[in-house]
Amino acid sequence: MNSGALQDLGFDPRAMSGDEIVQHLDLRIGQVLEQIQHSEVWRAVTSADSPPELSREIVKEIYLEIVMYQPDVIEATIATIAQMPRSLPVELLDDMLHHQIEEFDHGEMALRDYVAMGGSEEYARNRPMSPSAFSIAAMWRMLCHSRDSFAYLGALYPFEGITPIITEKAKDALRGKGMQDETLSYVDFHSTEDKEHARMLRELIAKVADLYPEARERICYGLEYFLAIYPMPAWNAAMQRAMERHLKTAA
Amino acid sequence: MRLLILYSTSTRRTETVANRLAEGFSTLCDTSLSTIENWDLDTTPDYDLVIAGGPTAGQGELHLKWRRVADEVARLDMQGRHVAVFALGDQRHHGGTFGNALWLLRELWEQTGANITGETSFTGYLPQLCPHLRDGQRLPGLLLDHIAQRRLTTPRLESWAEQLQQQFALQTAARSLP
Repeated sequence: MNSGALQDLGFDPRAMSGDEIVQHLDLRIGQVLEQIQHSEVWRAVTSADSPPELSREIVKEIYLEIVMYQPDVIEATIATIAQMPRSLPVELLDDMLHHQIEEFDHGEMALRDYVAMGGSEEYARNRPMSPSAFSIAAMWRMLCHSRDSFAYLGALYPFEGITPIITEKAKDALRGKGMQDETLSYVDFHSTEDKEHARMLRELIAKVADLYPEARERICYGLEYFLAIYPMPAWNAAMQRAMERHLKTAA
Repeated sequence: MRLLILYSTSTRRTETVANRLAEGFSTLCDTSLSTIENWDLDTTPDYDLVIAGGPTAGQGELHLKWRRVADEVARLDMQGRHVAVFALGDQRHHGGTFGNALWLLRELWEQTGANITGETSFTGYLPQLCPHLRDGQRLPGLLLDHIAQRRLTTPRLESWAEQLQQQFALQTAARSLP
């Protein structure tokens, strides 16, 4: 009996198959998507009733969050992958690293959109990291620091599971609020690209969980570690900054 | 003859290929090179041959920069002009949709009335990773895998450039690709 997992997760993942682990992750992502769509930030970004300039400011600030945390996430993830057991089949290692290659410069993609929305590149690159971005960066660094390599697979799931659905749902609303193509590259790109990444990640998780029984609990923990700080804390921080600016401008 | 090379890119792999084509063909004919998002599409029919390329994105879609201009491209009148397409893909990690952009680019440019040229064949690839393709089948253009078969990019590129050079009777050997 794993009392820690039972307490934290509500179940013991050790007896689950790889496919069952993936089903659990999908279930949790579904719950998070429900929360997102009932959140204040979602309403402010997508509702026809919210001021378009506020919606745009929130998206701009979300881009800034990504700019701040993404390089640390990539760097820590690649280092965490390097800590995988040496018995890991090389093709799985290849898939893990290749995925990171495909994500490598997405902080720069977010930065380009941020700048296209009127943001300052110098400010984005040099401002202190926001507390919410810092916590995201720190969580990924901690996975590496504690050599919790299997957990990275679960932690990655919110990025790949949530992003394609949310960006697909939001992109038309954002265009309706006057956002131009050059400010929506990140959104457009991830609405299609991350569907494929989610597929790859599902396959990877199922294979790793079947090969390494000890990975199952760590994958489920990784998901929960990340969901404790993402996406709502980061998006709420973005909305807070946007609201402050919006109110100042309106005053 | 006037040649235009249009491409989209995210990782700059397609840009590398487009640059190499442009450098090679610029010794043979009047050659222009541009990303699709920075190109004035209305001037496209001024060119005799358009080489259009991009990566295969997501789950086998056109790259978003092509998707954004697809309607404008489809409205062009390219009757009497030639278009050759190239695409990049990844057999190892995205084998199920490898090279889809090649067909999508062909379909897009076919709508302009252009003659689609530059066919190749699916030979020397990794068919065991690409269930939708069979060894030896005709491809509507040049298909490159600059990840799993990076070493084959140069010979494939040179062979295709030479094929186009012969077809359009360009004078200097296209082997001068850098």
